[in-house]
Amino acid sequence: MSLEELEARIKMLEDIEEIKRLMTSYADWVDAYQMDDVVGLFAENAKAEYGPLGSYEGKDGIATFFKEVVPNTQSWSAHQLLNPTVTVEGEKAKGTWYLFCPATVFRPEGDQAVWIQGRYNNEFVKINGKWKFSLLKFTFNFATPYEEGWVKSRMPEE
Amino acid sequence: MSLEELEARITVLEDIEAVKRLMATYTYLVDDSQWNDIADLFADNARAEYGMLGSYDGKEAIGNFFKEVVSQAWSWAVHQLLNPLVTVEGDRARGRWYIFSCSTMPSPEGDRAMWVQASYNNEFVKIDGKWKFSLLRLAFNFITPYEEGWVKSGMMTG
Repeated sequence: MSLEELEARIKMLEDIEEIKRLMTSYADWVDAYQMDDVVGLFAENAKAEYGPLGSYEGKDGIATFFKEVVPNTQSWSAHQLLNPTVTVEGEKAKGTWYLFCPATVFRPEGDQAVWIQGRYNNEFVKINGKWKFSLLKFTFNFATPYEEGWVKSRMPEE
Repeated sequence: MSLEELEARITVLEDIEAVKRLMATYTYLVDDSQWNDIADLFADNARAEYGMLGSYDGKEAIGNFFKEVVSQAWSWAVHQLLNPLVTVEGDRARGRWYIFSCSTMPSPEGDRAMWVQASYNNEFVKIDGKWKFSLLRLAFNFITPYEEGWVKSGMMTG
């Protein structure tokens, strides 16, 4: 075993920790509506896929989602991240998380408390020593009104 | 400080991360109903203690338990992990987690949304460099219908 080998193993642990921090920063900044900071976490040619909320390409497309779509959809959220798995291979990485997110969404009849649950299958790239999203892919399991639950109402009709 | 001491410290950090990743991988396989792949996460002489769903000895019995019993216990679930506490001692480890599960369970009245809260108190063994479960031990705290809550219905401890 050499110093170089040990250093490579430490770097791997640091990369895993940095990617987890990146994901937590994403959650914190989305919840705080710091959308410029959120967009800064993405690579220039990144993609973001949000199922029924649409797919967005490139930093500009992704900025549209965070600055226009999200504020018109919800007034509050807490993106609670669980079950992390992060796998690093050199300057690329993959990560999965569960999301369990209470949120307040706009409805014609007034604000609605919803529970959102789903899974992230994300990809990351290291650019100039900093990790960024290359793919943020979120799949909904449910987005249900607080009063209903995911059996009575799994996803909104529209 | 020697290279050996450094390597030992790095190994412990890698092992903690590997055990956490194994636990998350387990939950994703269970939630994706990948019953055939779950047995490979267990050591040959592993044990599973699953509360009122029974106790099982050996990889084969545990594999069958998942395929035949667990697969019928609910029609859908997400096993969300929280509060990881992992301790590594050489080739053995212990790990505790909370589970906060959204689940859909069949009933005579039809499918019901259920909240499940439980504790895992597990043991792990490292075989040929790969971590596996040696003991999977689950204790339910509550299994409650969405509409009721854990005071009205479904408390299983205390």
